[in-house]
Amino acid sequence: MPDDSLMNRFDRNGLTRFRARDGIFALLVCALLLVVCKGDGLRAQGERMEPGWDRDVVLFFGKPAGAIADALPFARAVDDATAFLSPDEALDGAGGFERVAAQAGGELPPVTADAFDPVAIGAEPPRKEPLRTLLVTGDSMAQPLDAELATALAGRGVKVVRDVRLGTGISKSFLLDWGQLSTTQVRRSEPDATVVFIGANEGFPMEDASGQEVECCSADWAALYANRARRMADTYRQGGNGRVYWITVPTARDEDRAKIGRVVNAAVRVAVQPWASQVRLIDTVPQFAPRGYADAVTIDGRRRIVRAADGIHLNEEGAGLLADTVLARLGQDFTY
Amino acid sequence: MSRIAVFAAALALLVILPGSAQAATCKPPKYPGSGYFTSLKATKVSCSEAGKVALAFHKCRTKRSDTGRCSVRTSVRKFKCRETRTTISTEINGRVKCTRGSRRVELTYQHNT
Repeated sequence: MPDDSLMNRFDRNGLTRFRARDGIFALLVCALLLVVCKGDGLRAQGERMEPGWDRDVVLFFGKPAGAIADALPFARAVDDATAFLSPDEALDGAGGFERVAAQAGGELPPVTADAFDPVAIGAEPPRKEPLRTLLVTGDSMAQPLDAELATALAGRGVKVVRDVRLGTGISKSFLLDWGQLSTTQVRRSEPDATVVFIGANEGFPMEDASGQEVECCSADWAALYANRARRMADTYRQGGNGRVYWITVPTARDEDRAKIGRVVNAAVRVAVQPWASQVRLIDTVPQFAPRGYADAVTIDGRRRIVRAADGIHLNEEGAGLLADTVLARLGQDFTY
Repeated sequence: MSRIAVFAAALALLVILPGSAQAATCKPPKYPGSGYFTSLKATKVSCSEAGKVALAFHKCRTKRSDTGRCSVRTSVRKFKCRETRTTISTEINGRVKCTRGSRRVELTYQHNT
């Protein structure tokens, strides 16, 4: 049967550029480049999929591809080179929670002078410095406290940086790594003081040093949480150049949330112990829930509703009262 | 041979770049319940449309109950949505990918239970 495709006209006129074999070779080169430059992306995609045969197939190829990409420097180079195209916020890799659990333990750390608040031991307090930059950060708990503080400090020469990350939590680093974020925040704004109010979205399992997931709310979970909080506090205190005001979460109305909040507060209390001279713990429980959860508290003989309808957050009234407490504590360390 | 190498490199670049180049980060809409949309990304879709898809997905998801799911077979503004979840006693955290051909909307949400 004669070939009437007329494809040989290209050969006849010397116009042939590529053969089918060239196409296959090019595809193989592409596949190799993709594995080397984006193999980790294939693995990450597979890990995000719901369990099922399709996830198994993606991970069957994705895991070795990811291992190859991890072993070579090209994937990171490609990410760096194309980072400007991505609108994602770039957080500093340093200070992340990924290795916090593994780094805990080891040799016995020495107690340093930083662990003692001069006032508590009757020593001379350090001279008050002017407050220039205040960072107010946390999850939804930090709202509307951030606005209350910004309003109170307006016109006093204090730059208030408000950075609230709704829905995030220290134990849910799959959404946001607060270890990385705190490093980025300090690098960007170099705050003299940082107010941290976080804990509405905690209770998620965390990995321990061996990679095992630890469920909330055992002592092991509290220890993992405390190590993460300690990393953040250490970042915010900037080697002793910054002051940190870490606010505990007020007891929530829901029993499950109240239980998580109790463990979170205990963990934070332990986390900040090494730096009592620089990290101040502001305990909201005696102020807003002295006898367990209550919508209202008595102030100057008047009952005032201080909690939001969700039984988790403070309302504007409550945030205003807390802002007064924070400002009073700031006034012991700074002039503003 | 060099022509093939250039061709292959160009093809590889075309494949590698779009994943990072086309996804735009959008401001999520207000969550219609107790919780938040914590992120919203749109690929080949406007942010306005991505926000509408997020709200439509929420409506589909909570049709039966607050902890319900939206079936992957259900059309959400002509998108098909797949969700993965992390759940604890106090909240649900969902990661949702909605696709319509090459158009894609990705969102994460946190829902207080």
